[in-house]
Amino acid sequence: MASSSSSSSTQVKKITLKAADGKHFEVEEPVAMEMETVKSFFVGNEDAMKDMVVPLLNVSSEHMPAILDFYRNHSEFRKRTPPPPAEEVKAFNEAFLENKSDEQLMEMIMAANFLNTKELLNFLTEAAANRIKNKSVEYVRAFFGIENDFTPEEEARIRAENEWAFDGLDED
Amino acid sequence: MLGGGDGDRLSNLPEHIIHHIFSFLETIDVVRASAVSRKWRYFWVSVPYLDFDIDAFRSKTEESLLIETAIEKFKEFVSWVLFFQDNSVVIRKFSLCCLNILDDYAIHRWITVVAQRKVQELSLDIFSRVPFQLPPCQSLITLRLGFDSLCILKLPTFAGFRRLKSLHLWMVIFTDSSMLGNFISSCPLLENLNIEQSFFCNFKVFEICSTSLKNLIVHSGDEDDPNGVGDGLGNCEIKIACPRLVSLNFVTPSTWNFCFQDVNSLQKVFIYFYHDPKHATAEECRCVLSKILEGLCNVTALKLSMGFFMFLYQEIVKPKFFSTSFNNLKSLTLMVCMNLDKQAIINFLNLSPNLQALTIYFGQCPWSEYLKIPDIAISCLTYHLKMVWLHDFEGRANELELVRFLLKNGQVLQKMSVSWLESVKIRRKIIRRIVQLPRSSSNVSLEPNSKTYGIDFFSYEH
Repeated sequence: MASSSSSSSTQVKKITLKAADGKHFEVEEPVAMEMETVKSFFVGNEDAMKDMVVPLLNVSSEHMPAILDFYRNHSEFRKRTPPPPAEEVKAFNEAFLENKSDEQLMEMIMAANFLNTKELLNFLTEAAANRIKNKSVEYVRAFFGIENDFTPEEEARIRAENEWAFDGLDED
Repeated sequence: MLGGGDGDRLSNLPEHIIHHIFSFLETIDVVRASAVSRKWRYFWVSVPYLDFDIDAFRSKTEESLLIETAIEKFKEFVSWVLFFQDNSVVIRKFSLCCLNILDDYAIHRWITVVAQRKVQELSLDIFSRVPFQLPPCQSLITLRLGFDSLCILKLPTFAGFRRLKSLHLWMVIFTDSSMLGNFISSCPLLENLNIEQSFFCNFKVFEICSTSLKNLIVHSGDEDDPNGVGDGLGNCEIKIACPRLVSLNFVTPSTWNFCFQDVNSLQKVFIYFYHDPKHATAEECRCVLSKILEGLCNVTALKLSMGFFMFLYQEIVKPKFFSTSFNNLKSLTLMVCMNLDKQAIINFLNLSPNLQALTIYFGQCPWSEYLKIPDIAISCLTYHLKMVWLHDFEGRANELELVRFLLKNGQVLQKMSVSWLESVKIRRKIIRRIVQLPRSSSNVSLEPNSKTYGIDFFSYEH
């Protein structure tokens, strides 16, 4: 692999990433370098660059394609002149989140945190916040997979404390 | 399965990530979400982001309660949260949006509390009947302060905010020019200053001197403002002396005295003069504009709407009046909002030997008589100009003549993009005419592209 890519100078250099479950992903170098964790793997270790496999212990292979897609698109958005219209970025972001379950979203937040990329982490945490904005306690519980350990009396007391915080919410 | 698997999805996250998620929510959402279980019950007490918006209370109580009741409940809630929050937690951000609140005292009390908790970012969107006084808060890094209706701001007379990096003010009335100038000079780390929709009451001098400032935006109010607080910066001397300034964005009534000192790092400039002076001679206009342009001759991006100057700067940028050239200029945007002889644009191109991108906004005005542009060699057209954007294009004879000139002489042109004025009906016909014009740049490919915001119909690919 490594020798074939170095034989042709026009070809973009690739870096191999290994997901938590052992699956390998070949990624163009600039895309891989969007991740601070990958970048710091190579700092002061330039010789190893070509063929070393970077282990990503906290990222499941299930999420790798989507995450790489995010980096590819957003780095292209950043480089483009003039900058892309807001609708285009919004459309990509919405499509990205579509069909992602709450659980998948939370796993991807963990992955973004591990990969240490501000842009992706910001985007995903805001998406998570938007999902629980103005929602009922029951909805938030389900979102985070939390079990209700209050007695009915306790729960009633908490509600009474801040009555209006529990009224007029969006439907679950 | 990733993560510990022992707890719920929230407990598996590191604390800073949990705070990050909740930083996007209003405090009322955070308080409610804390009621999910015993473990999380007092979570909100240590969340370093506080965000209160009276709209959340208004919309809930719209039908059943009076507005006064909603305001009372809102005040009660903010005070309750501030009282019970963990005092040792440094507040990262405090946002307050409460227009029409009944007493100003509550706001001051809250701000004093968060100042004691070393708040780093303060965002206030408020209403105040009386002049507003900023309390001392040495921990502040970012301050956004705006009013629902114009309000006098009393700037602190104590030494400025030592750590303040960004200051954004809107709907503010300033009554003392030296106080504003002194305040800005006394913030040693201030990098971004943004003053919008604001009035500068009886200012004779508007002076910004700062050794740290990088970005400056000033949008001063209209002279004919309904509140009758004077005439903005219209009759004022504007002095800008900021050695680190990178970008300047100035929207103001035309002024007679604009002075740049020490602005050698300036890269991007946008100046919009929106008012026609009634008492200026052509000679005075010429003088002011020459002075402004000379101060900007090192910039890389320039965006100008000259208002009354427009009909004059064809004269001003003639070698006779103006000898400096814009050697660093890469991007030029002109808003053509009056009867304009195209020659002014050509003169400007002549002064910009390294220009790569040209953007022109055509105003909706009757054009002067048709004039042909003589085909002369212009350095930037021969060697550098790659992109041309034309906005609000109508396909009038003078516009087409400019297109013809740019296509004929633009030897390295890669792309010319046109967005139409909405009312233009005969676009196809105009495109057909443009397509038939001779072009100097080789390998032309046409890519009609009908996006909502305009048509990207020319694309020269290599």
